[in-house]
Amino acid sequence: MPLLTSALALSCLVLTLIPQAEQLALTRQAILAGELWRLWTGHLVHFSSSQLYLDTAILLLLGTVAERELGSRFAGVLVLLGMPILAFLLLLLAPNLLEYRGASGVVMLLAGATGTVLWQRLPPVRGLLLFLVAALASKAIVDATGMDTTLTSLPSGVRVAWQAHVCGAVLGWLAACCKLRYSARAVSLARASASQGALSVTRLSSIANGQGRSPRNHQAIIDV
Amino acid sequence: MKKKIVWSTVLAFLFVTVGCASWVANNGTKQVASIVDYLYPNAKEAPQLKTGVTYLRPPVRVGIAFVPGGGWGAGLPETDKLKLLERVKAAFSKHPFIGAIEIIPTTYLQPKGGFTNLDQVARMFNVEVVALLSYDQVQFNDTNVFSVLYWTIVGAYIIHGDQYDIQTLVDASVFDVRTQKLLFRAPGTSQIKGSASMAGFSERARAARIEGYNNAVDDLIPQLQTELDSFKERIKSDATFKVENKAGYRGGGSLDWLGLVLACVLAVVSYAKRRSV
Repeated sequence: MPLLTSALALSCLVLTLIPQAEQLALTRQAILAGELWRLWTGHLVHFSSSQLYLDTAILLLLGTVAERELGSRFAGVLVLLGMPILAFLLLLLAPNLLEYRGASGVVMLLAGATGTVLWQRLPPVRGLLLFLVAALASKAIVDATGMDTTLTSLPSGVRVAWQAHVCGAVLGWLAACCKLRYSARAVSLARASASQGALSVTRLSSIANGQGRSPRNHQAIIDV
Repeated sequence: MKKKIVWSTVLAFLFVTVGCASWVANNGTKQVASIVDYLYPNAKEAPQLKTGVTYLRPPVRVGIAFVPGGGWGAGLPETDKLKLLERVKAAFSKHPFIGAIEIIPTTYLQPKGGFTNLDQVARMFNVEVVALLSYDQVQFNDTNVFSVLYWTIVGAYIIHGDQYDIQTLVDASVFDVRTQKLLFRAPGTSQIKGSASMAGFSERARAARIEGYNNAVDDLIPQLQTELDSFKERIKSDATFKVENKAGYRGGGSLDWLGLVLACVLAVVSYAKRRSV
């Protein structure tokens, strides 16, 4: 049961349906006035029910995969820290953006991280992953040029904030790179300890899959 | 002598029972808040409309207020006005082209203040368009045949011998503050009839008057919605209106159907990997 994903999806549904949803949207003036909760809640409220349902469906799918591939704890930290960073990046990179609502930035954050981990762990599907990246990049270009795709779930008068998608994917990629590098270091330390007979093969494989202990702990094991 | 006493008693009794029927005022009441009185006070000639193009920049900030009535006790209590305005606000706050709806208490409006006062209030509440609600409510009071039983004294408390007929009109007029142009308007009406005992008439009639306003607003909201929709169509062909984007835009994070397809692909890849392990 992907707890983080379920909690996020439920929050999206509940927060968008309350009448005061506009008090939770990410707006520049409100952030500058000190309403910092909007850095998180802006990603959980939506402009319309169609946007809400589509974003929530994608979040449920991708979140489940992300929690499986990244681990719930890492995914949770990524979402909690990624939300405000993403919001600040939006305020910085899109100065004319008055108001932002939508979970797709968070979805792209998880997608970027999951895609990077799958790229590392599954070399045979790299072609498919490249195709997905190309499709999303094409969509970002279409959105950035303001072309009407007629598939949008946003109401009239609201544009697609493509910057959120790009920033989310890049942030996710960076986070996953850090995680993989950290795991690689852990694996190399674990291998060293395994060669000295301090670690079993099963434990080594679990560390290689990113479920191991921290390098500091392994160093401690080796020291012992 | 005895006959005189009997006749005096009968006459006194008749006088008292006739008096019972006259305790309740039969003329009725009227509550008026006129938009013409507010916007064009002491107008001796037709108002001059400002020529030029009206620019609307969505999401438009809208103010909503009841125009001031004619003196103390001549209109709705402020608390009831705010409740009615809240209902109108809730009905229109979901439109994407409406940025925010500010409720303006009537105490901020000066009776017979005109567009000068409207302009001041619009600047105070930072709104570009103002929807002004005016009302006209008339209450007719009558007695029915049962009122003859009021002479029993107890009847004045239990017999519904007084009846009321309350007719209400609430009218919403939406103005662009800068050009003072009427964008569109819509009415809402209601009629409430009822009866009450003499002792409970005042309270029952007051509640019915409030209910009359509520029903009129219920009738107003769909009509205002229809007028808003037809106004949206009208401005597409009317050269005196121009819709412009504000400096800045609203952005939504939306991956659309493409995102859903790609998420499915990623989920399948992950599932296949799990099965192969």
